Formats: sequence, C-alpha cells, structure tokens
Amino acid sequence: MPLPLPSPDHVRRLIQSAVLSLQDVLLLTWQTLRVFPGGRGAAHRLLAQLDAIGVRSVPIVLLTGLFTGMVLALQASVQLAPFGATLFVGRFVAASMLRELGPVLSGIMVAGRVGAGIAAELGAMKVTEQLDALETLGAEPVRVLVLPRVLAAAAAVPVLALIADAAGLAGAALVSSAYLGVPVRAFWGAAVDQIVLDGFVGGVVPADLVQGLVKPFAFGIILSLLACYHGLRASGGTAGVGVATTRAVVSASITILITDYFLTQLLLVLV
Amino acid sequence: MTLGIPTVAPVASAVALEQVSVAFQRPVLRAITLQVAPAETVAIVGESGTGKSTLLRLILGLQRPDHGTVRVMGSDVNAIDRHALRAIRAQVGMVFQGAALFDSLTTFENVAFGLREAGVLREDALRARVFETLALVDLDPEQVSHTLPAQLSGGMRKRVGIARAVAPRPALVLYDEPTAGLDPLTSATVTDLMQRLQRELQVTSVVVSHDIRAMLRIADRVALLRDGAFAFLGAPEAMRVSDEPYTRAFLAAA
Repeated sequence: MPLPLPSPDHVRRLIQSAVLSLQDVLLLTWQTLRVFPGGRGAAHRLLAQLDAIGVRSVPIVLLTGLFTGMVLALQASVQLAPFGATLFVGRFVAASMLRELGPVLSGIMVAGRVGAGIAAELGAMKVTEQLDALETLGAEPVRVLVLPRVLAAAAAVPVLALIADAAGLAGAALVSSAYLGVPVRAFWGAAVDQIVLDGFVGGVVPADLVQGLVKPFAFGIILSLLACYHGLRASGGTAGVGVATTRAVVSASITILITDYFLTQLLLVLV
Repeated sequence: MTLGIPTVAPVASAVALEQVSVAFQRPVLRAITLQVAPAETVAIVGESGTGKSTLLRLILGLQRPDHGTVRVMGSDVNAIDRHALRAIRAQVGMVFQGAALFDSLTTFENVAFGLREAGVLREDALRARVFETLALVDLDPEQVSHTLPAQLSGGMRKRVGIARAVAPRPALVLYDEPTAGLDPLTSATVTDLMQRLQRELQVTSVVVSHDIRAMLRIADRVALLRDGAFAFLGAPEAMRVSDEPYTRAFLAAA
C-alpha cells in the first residue's frame, strides 16, 4: 500500500515551525553575542566548559580518528593496489582526514557526547525551575549557561579535530606499515607531499589545515547553540528533557553535515 | 543594610497589580487588582490551576500580562529595560515550589549565588553572611555547607531555598507553595520559619499556598482565587467569618 502524501496543511505547518525555530536560534545567537564576554566569573565558567567539552571529549575523538584512519588506509589500498600505487595511501588519508573526516567526525562525535549532555542539563534545569531561579538571582541564563558553552565548543572542537587528524594519520601509518608494506617514513612523506600540493594560505598556513580548522570552529558553534536552544526550550518534565536531548543531537548532526557541504564549496573558492 | 544592591525610594505599595489579565489556552487571571504594602504578608490561596504561581511569575517579570500593569517597588516590570529589571529583581527573593537549587553547586554556593552576582561583598563577609543565613533557617552551616542538594532531605532543601532567597536581604520575598510535599511536622517548621523571618527581617511577603490553615496563621491578608479572580481578599479574621459561599466551602474543605 503506498504511503499517503502529507497534506498541504501539514507541509505548511512544518515549514512554519522550521522558520520559527530558525528565528529562535538566530535570536539566541544574538542574545549570546550581546552578553559577550560574560561578566564576573566568565573565565571560571569558560574553563569548566573547556574541561567538560574539550578535555573530556579527547578519548572518544582519539578513538574515532584512529579507527577511521585505519579503515581509510585499508580501503585506499584496495583502490590503489591494482595500479601499484599503494605508496599513495598517505596522500589519500591526509587529504581525507584533514579536510573532511577529522572536522566532520569530531563535530558529530562531540554533538553526540556534549550536545546531548548540554541539552539534558539545561532541560533539567528548565523543568525544575532552576533557570527561573537564575534569573531571579540576577544571572541571565544566556550569560552564565549558553555563552561559556558556545565559546568552549568553538575553541575546543578545532583542537579536537586536529587530534582526530593526528590519530587518523597515525592509525593509517600503522596499518600501512603492518599490512600494506608501506614504510612509515614513506607514508608520512606522501602525507606531507599532499599537504604541500594542496598549497598554502598566505604562503605559510597549509590550505588543508585552514579547511580543517574553519569547519570545526563553525561546527562547535552550531552544535553548542542547538544543544542550548533545545535544552532551554524543554518542557513537560523528564519526558520533555528526553525529547530535547534527542532533538539536540539529531538537529546538530544534520546541520553539521549540511553546513559542511556549503563550507566546503565556499572554502574551495576562497582557499 | 543594602549590600550595595540598588535601592529605590520608599513606595506606598511594594507590589501593585492593576487590572492584570493572563490567558494561556484559557483565561487564567481576569482583571486582578492587588496592592501589597511594605512589610505586609499576603497569602494567595486557591485550588490548583487557578493562576496562583502565574501571579508570582508576573511579579518577577518572568511572565508578561496580556492586559494590565505589574509594579514592583514602584516600577512597571514590563516597561523597564533588562538592567532596571535586574535591579528590581535584586530586591526580590523567590522561594520555588521544588526549591530549584542548583544541582551542581554545594549548599554554600547555592546560598552565596545571589550575593556573588550582586558582587558587593568580599569573600570573608560573604562567607559570614551565608553562615548567618543558614543559621537563620535552622541549618548547621558547618554541617550542610559542603553538601550537594541531592544529599539533603525535602525539608532541608526547602530551607536552603529560603536561605538562598533571603541571603541578599531582599525587600520582598515570594514563596511558591513553601510547604508542598512536606510532612506535617516539617511543614509546620517551615511555616514557623517564614513567620520568624518576616518578623526578624521585616520583609514584604507574598505567599502562594494551598495550606489555608497555615496562611490564616501567618498572613496579614488572604486572597482566595477562583476562576482567575479574587473570591475573597481581606484579613484572616474576616475570612474566617465570611459568608461568601465559595470562601466558606473552601475553608470547610481545608
């Protein structure tokens, strides 16, 4: 039996809801910018979030990067072996990790781990009136809760992407030398060649690295803002917190992937 | 002592609601008018869902009325900018129904929160103020300071909530169901505590509660909400002898 098509009214409501949500996220972004740099205690709050978002995400990003690099090396060898070009595995992995996989996987992993945590924490605070308590005690929730999380994520995700890149290259080098007969030195030589080949911005900074840092910076802002947005909007008790958490992770992951496409197009022109 | 928190000139009413109406899916408050004099204690009682807590949110500026004005310390809370609203809120303490303590902070940090935000006390003076306030609500500061809210009983959480609200020595304290969910003994202790705080700190209080007997004991005036309007507003003695049918039924059911 064919699935029934959504009614025009249903589609209209969906579009209306999406536009209203976008408007609310933009408003939250503006409110966050407005309270920068965050007033008294801002440094303390930022350090706490750098620890929660950045330092504590290192193991998961390290593992993700390591095994992604290992898989990439295996897959690349399958494609390159028929042409006797296994030595180019390093180039393939370097380009893939630095430009795409490091930033995107770090963003999505952090969205899953940290985004869910932020939405759950803020959502629980909302349904237990702790956000109202903050306001009555003279502390704006956007200043003490949202700003430090957004700043910490914007700073931490690029560093985490670099860690994923390094772990991915190390994993690929390991697999290349252990199974593909590519010496570690040759692997790294090929990886560096690729980075040089892709050029430098201002003659100094590798273009691959610029792409690999600009994207996770944007992803960090996106995932933290969306997580805060869904957490602050939670309603309906603990069930509402669960819904907010799911929405935070799903919306952040999808938005990261969509943003990645447009950022890639833009950066390919600019860099 | 004002702790450096912005002060305003004395006003005739600490809180003044004029013709305030609020509707969500249905009308919740209909053209409510209420004036609370400085140092007065007004209890708002009524059945569940009659808009008692909404009334407190209006006073705090957390909710905008559809119609009417809400003045706190002489200022219309819906017509001032966020800095002025923050200054008004600095003079208002709020005790939430579920205490709303910050889970990740210790008891000490919870009580110190408003003082730190005001930023006018040095660390030693702040510590002394927190300890003094914890003692005021019958908690042993040495014992509870380092505990997290999750480690406290319901009654203790409520008392920490009261301590957090009164630590900055506000001019006005709002209580949302301060005895809800407590056993009768703890409930009586919390009611006595509220009475003592009003006496010792001379604050204006607006108390939302379902506990009519306790409210008749501690309030200067009692307002009974029914269908978004006051069925009764007057002194406890007048309420006890009121011949208004709903008021009599409400008292009889308590």
